Amino acid sequence: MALALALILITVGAVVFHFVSPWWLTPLASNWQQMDDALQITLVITAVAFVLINLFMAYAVIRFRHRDGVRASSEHGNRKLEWWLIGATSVGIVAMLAPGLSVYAKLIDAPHDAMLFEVMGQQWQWHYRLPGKDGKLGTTDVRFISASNPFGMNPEDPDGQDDLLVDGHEIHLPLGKPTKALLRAADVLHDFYVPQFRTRMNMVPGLVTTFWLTPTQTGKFEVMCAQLCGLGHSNMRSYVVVEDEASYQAWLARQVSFGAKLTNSGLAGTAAVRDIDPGRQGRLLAQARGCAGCHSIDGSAGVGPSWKGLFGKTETLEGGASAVVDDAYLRESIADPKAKVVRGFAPIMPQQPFSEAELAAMVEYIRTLK
Amino acid sequence: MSALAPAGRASAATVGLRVFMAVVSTLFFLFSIAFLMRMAVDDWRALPRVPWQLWLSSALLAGAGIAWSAAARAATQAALLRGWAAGCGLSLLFLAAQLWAWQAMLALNLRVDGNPANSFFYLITGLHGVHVVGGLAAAGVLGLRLLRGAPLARLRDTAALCAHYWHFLLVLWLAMFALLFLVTPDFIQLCSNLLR
Amino acid sequence: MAYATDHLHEPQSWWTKYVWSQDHKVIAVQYTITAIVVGLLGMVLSDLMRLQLGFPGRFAFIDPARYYQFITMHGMIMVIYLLTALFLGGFGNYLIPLMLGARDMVFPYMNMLSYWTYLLAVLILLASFFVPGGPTGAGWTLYPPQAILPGTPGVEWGIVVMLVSLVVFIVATTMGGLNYVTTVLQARAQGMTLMRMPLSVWGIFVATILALLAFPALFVSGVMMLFDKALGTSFFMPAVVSMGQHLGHKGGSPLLFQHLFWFFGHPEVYIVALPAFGIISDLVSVHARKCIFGYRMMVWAIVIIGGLSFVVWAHHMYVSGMHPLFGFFFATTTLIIAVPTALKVYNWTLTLWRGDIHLTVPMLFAIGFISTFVIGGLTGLFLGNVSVDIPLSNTYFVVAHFHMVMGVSPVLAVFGGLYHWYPKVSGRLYNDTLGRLHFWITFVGTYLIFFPMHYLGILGMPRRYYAYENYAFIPQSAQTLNAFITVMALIVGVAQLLFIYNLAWSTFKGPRAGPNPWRAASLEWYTPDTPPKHGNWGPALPVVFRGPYDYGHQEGASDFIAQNIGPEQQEEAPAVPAAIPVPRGEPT
Repeated sequence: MALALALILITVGAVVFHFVSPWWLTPLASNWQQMDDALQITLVITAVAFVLINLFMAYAVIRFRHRDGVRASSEHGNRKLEWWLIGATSVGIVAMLAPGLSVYAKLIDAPHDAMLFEVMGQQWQWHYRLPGKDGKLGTTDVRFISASNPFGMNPEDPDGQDDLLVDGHEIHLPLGKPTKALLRAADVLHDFYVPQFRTRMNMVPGLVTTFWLTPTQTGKFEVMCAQLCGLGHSNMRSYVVVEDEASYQAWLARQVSFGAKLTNSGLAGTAAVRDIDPGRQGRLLAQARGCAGCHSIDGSAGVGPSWKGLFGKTETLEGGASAVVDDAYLRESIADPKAKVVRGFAPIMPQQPFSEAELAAMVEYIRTLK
Repeated sequence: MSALAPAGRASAATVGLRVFMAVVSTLFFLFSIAFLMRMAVDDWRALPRVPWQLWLSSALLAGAGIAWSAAARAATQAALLRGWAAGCGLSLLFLAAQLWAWQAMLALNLRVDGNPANSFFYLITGLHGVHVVGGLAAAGVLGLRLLRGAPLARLRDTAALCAHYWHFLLVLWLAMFALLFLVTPDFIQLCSNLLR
Repeated sequence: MAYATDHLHEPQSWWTKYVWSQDHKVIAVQYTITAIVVGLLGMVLSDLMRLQLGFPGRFAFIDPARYYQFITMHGMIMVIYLLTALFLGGFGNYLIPLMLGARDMVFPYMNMLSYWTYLLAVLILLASFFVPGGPTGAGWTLYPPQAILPGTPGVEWGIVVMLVSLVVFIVATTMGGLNYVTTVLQARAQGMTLMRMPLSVWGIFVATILALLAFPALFVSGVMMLFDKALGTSFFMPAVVSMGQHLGHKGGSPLLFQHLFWFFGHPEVYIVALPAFGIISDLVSVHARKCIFGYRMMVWAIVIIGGLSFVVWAHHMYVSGMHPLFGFFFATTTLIIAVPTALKVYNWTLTLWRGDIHLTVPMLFAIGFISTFVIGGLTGLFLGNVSVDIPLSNTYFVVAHFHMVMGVSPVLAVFGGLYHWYPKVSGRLYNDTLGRLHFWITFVGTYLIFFPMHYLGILGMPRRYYAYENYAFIPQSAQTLNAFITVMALIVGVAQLLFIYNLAWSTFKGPRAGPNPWRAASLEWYTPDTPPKHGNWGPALPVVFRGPYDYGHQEGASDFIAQNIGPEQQEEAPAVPAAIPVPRGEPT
């Protein structure tokens, strides 16, 4: 009877677990209550089925256990019962499918006046862009992507001139306004996932995908990449800040437009810019080339050594030798990653071509990270 | 210990071959779907013209099929051997003509990593060729049996299977030939115009 | 092509008997042992993954690259090289001729080739651990562009080796599949109509048809990816900037790969599930001494599930960015497929109802299957319903679902089947106590591992993450749960050694079993010798007079009648036909 007991305990345990479990949906922060409702309906119907079937089996195992002298019934089946069960199951299926499809129809139908924002994913960081006052996003193309133009903006497109390129890994959204995300990717598949929003979508190079929502809670929400995109997949993090209209406008006013950046950009840069923002070229390059996926700038452990305080440090290498991290060391390590491997780290840094100017920019940036 | 009657024995091999042909058809069907889906992207440039070597190869493959059919009906060991040799020989010439067509395409600078239409050309003709090679491997087994002097009836049964397979390879080849050169964005446009 | 009868001369040497054997039983054992060995490796890989998840950062040698390599190889090994090979090559090879009254498969030489080709595929796959850069870490789904771009482990060699191994595997499966299908169609004994075949055969038969039609899609996607990687074509590769480099591809579609992959991938799960369904039907029926409830409907359910499995694939792609309208279609077909599947569950439980239930080790596993399959199938309803899937996609909910429905329940079916037919294959009985211990640890342990995991998915924890540090929405208790799951996984993993030890030891030292210890009615138990000799049936093939589930007889000495008992013999109601000699020494 251990088996019957086990089945009963599993059933009871599962139900109890559901109610005491500390792990459940995050508090909803968008208008998609209906999605949670569809989940609940599915849960109830499947829970009923789970309980009934397991308890039925437990009962059968007890009631019809082998007893000497008693034989099994000779029945072969019962067509009527089978059709009845098919019917009942179909009703259950429809009861789940109908609410599911009805909210799906709304999910794929964004309001025409939804506010737009663009998310661009790249190994392993996020970029955000907003249409400027003209409400239109400028065209982009992969062939324009470079260290100084990470969004791949078409410099000839007038619509793009007033687009706001959000610096940093945080996008703000206004509370209560229907908002449509336009998603694209520069290299591989990514996925913009904020559990509290419920809706999300993959980002596919070569395509623009979309989802929409109305944020209903203020707060700072974590963005995660939810489509395996390589080594830095779990490091590809960002934030969405939902705030009231006034705060949002204030944030918006601080963003720089593409047109404004164009006058300041270029790998050489102006001396003035370099004084204000030393290491800027290197920082942009590090973002463009994916260094951030493995090398942190705040000292936290990663796939590769952190850059914080790296310049001037004495590193112990694989094999016991040590080296001082100076200009020459950094240039060698960037251009030829396998030449010297720091002890405790795997020799997996991809080798990428860097020009002399780029190496100088990288080294300058790393120097700034004290 | 004869478990299956002779009629049963022959039909097992035929059933097996038919199932295999269904599998291969599915394979090339899926390649065709991929072809159509990729063609929808506007970087597609249809192949400019048919290398004449492909007409030659088609004729050679058809000839091989006829040779196999003859072998399957052969009245004597010698006739079967001739059919076998012709079937194998013409198939090898088919493969050579296909490679020649590849050379012709390369000479036109239609490389495999160029336009996707080119990529599909090499991919599909290459895989079809692989299936011809597979058939030749089976034909090799038949050749060995011929050498060992198996009974004529059994040899004819096997040759009939080869004929069956070679006819299938021909139909498959013609379908792929048509797909690669006839089914172009213009053709799709024409069809949808006609349907409107 | 070879003819079955021509190769039934006895193999003479040790090599042709046990190594280069064309006997379906030997080939089945070869497949089974190879699959189990590679499956144990897959299990070790999952334990390594779980060490990182349960105790993040404690094991320095598990860095992100290795972690993703472990995940990928674990998944691919388990789905393809263990489950598919074991159900089709192992159970299919052993059971089909015996259950149908045939002497062997219709193409024994090709059958032998299929095993050695499978072994070659396994060796190629394992070679990827030794190539520069190691195996691919792209996830078992191998999605482009990342599978062939820098930033993913194994892009130089690992992915190429993986794709080559898959192509070789597909050749092996095709060779095997031709055998199974043709044997079922052509080599059944006299009186063995399709509707008298045991459900194990039906499950394997339909699964084989699925395999023959679905693996080509994997072949297409694999070859095209190989071309993109090695020859620079742009089937799946759009214009990308990878690590700052503009690459030469353009115009390709990553979604095309996903459609092709899942057109294979979804039928693949039924290639694993349908044989499991069939085996469970036989186990429940024999050990409850009762005719399977609704045999006809069970057959139709297998066939319909098989057919529908080809039109549900894009439920793996709801958040892929495909055209949104597809969501309606695939959600509907996916939820429809739940109906015949549910019917099978009902019929198994109804077979228990008014049965004469013997809780043997195979029966324990069968009931364990039903319970875990119910959970796995029900959570599939969440994921099949497009809008419920959207927040759950790529989270631990999916991981928990597919482990329950592919990793736990079919594996319980495998164990049940191996214990059930073990006396037939080896002529001996396994150790019952060890078998029970194995069942309890595995059944309870896998529930404890995977049931709570669903809730981590509902919370929103993404899958395929190396670490989950510093997330505000993830409570510390989730990390504790991860540690608990890891410990349970290690315990369940070690417990599998009980199974290996039991079967290995019992093969040499177990008590002799007799020809039919379970008093089953289906044909495979009525060979003149146990284990069956080459050619299976001795001088005369069996003749079949009834279905394989003639249990529940109230009158007479025996509660069942074997399939090969004719009406005249029925009056005497011997369960074992007089013509077949009882092996010396043991009471039956």
